[in-house]
Amino acid sequence: MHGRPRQRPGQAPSPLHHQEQAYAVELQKLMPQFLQSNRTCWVFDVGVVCSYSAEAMNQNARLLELNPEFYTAWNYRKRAVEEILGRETDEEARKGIAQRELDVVVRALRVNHKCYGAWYHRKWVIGLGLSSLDAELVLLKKLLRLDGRNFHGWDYRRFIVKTKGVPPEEAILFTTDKINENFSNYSAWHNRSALLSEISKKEGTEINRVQAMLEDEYDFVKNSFYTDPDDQSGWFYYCWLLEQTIALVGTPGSDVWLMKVLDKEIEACRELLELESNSKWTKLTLARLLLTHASYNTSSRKSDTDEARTHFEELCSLDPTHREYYQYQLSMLSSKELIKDRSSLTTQHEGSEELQLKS
Amino acid sequence: MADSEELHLEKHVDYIKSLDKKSDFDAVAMEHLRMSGAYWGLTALDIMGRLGDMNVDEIVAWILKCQDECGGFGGNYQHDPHILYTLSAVQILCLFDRLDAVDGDKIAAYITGLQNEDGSFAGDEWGEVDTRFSYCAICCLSLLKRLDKIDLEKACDFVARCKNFDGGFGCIPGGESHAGQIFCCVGALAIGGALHHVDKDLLGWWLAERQVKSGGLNGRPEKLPDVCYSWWVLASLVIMDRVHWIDKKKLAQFILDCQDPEGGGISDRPDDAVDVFHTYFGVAGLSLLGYPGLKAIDPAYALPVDVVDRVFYGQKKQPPVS
Repeated sequence: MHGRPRQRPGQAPSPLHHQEQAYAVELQKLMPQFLQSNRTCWVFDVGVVCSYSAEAMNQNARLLELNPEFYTAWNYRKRAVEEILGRETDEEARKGIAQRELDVVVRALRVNHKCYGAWYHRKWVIGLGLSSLDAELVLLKKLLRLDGRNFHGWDYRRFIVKTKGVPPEEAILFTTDKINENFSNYSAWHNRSALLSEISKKEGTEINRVQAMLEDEYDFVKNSFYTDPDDQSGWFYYCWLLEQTIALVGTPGSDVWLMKVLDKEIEACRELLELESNSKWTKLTLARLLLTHASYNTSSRKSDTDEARTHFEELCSLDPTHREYYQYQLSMLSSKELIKDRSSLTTQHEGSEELQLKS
Repeated sequence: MADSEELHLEKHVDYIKSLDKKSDFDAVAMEHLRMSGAYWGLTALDIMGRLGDMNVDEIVAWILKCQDECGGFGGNYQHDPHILYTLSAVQILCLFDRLDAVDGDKIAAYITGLQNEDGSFAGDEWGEVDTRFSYCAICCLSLLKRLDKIDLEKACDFVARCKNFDGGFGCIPGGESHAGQIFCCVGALAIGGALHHVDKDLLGWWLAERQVKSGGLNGRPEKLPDVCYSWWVLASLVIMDRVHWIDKKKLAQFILDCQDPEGGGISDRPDDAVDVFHTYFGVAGLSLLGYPGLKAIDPAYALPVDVVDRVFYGQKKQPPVS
C-alpha cells in the first residue's frame, strides 16, 4: 500500500490497525446491502421509480466515506440525483441537493484526495449548474495549499476556470502565486506553459509582445536556479522556453532578437556555473544553448560546438546514471559534423561522380 | 538488505495465491477492483511461470458473472460495468487462452459506444473522459481484433492533443504529465500505429530523469520513487527504444530492495507494506529488465509476450524459461 510501513511478524499492530478492522467489518456489512439495492434500481430503472430514501442516501454516503474508491456507489448517487432533481422544481431545494453532493465529495476527499471517482462526481455536480464556481475556487486554494502537486486538484481547477470563462491572462496569475510560494511546484510550471501558449497563440497577439513575455519568463524561472540549482522543475520549463524562442525564428526581427536572448542566457548559465561548478542542469542547459547558438551563428560554430561537447563529456562522469543519454547527445553531435563534412565532400566530387556515370 | 539481492519468487507466488482468502481492510477496500487485482496477480504468476497452479474454470466462471448485459465488465460481481475492468477481464481471458468464452462483438459494441465525437473515450455511461480509457479501449479492441469498430485515427489524435510542454501526456488536454498517464498514451499510440505523435528524444529524456539516486523511478519531477513506475516509465521507454537511457542495474536493485523476503510481495518503497499492485509492477519491471527466470512481457499490451503472440498468431505456448 502506498506509503504505509510494513508490518513485521511478531510486531504489535498499530492503533490504526484496530480502527481499520472496525471499518472492514462495517464495510462488509454495508456493501452487500448497497449492492442489492443498487441492482434493484438498475433493473427497474425504466418505468419503476426507485425510492432513493434518505436512509439509503446516508448509508451510501457512509460507504463512500469508508471507501471513496467504491465507484458503483458514486454511480448510484448520480442516478439518485437525476431522479430527485427530475421531480424537484424549487430552485433553492435543487441547489441544496447539489450542495449535499459536494459535501459528500469533500468528506471522501478528506479520506483520499487522489480519488478519481470523487473528483469526477464533483465535476458532474458542477455541470448541473446549481453551484457557485467562486466557492470552488476558494476550496481549491485551500486544497492546493495543503498539496500543491495534486494533479486532480489542478485538473479540476482548470475545469472551473474554463467553465467560468476566466481569460488565460488572469488564470496565469495563480501559477505565479504558486511558484512564488514554492518554485519547485512542477504542476504550476506545467499549467503556466499551457496558459502562455494560449496567450501567445491568441489572434492579434503581436510578435513583440510574445518576445517580451518570453524574456520575462526567462528572468522569472532563473530566480529558482539560484535557490536550488538541483531542482528539476524550473529547468524543464526553461528548456521549453528555449524551444518557444527558436520557434519564433523567421518572423520579422526575430533573428537579431534570438541572438540577443541566447547571448544573455549563455552568460547567465556561465555565471551560475561559477557559483555551482557541479550543477548538472546548468551544464546541460548551457550545452543546449551553445548548440542553438552554433546553428544560427556560423562564425562561432566551432567554438560553441567544442564547448558543448566538453560539457556533455563532463556530464557523463557528473551524472553517471544518465550517462547513456549524454553519450547519445555526443554521438548526435558527431554525426551532424560528419554530415556537414560529407556534404562538402560531395560538392567537391560532383564532377568525378558524373564522369563515373558516363563511363 | 543483503538478503534482498535475489527475487524471492516462491514467496511472491505464495503471497499472490493467499490474497483471495484475506478479509482485512485492504482486501475489503479493494473489492470494487477485484477484476484488476486478479489481472495483476495472475499476470505476475504467469511471468513467474506459475499460472498453471490456478483453477482456470473457476476464475473464468467468475469473470463471466461480472459481465453486464451491456457487454462491459464490472470490477466485481454486481458492481457497475466500466472500461477499466472490461480490459482487465479480456486480459485475463487472454492469459488463459479463453477468449472463446465471451462474445467479442458484444464487448466491442460496449467499448465503441463509449467513444466521443472528439475521439476520446468515456470510462462508463457517466462520461468521465481520460486518456487511461483511450488506452483501455484501444488495447482491448486490439486483443479482440476489432480495432476497426472505432474511429482509430480520431482516438489517436485525441491522445496527441494531450501532449504537453515536456513531451509527456496528461489525462485530458491541458492535464499535467504523469508517468502512468504517459504509459497509457504511448501504449495506445503504439498499438494504434501512431507513435509519430511522440517526441521520443524529449519524452525519453524526461522519463530517464524519473530515475533518482536510489535507482528507483518517480512518476513526476521532485516526487518520491515508487515501484509502480518501474512499469509505467520502463514500458514507455522500451516502446520508444530509449530504455538504455536509465541505469537498469540500479533500478533492478531498487525493485529487489522493495521485496518482503519473509511474507512475499513487493511494496512501493523499501520497508513499506506490500500489495498485489506493486508486486505485479515489480515483477513486470524485472521482466522488462531481462531478469533471469522470468517470462518476457509485452510493454504495450502488458501481457506476457507468448500470450500476445498466441492471440495474434495462434502460436503455442513457449516452454517456461529456466
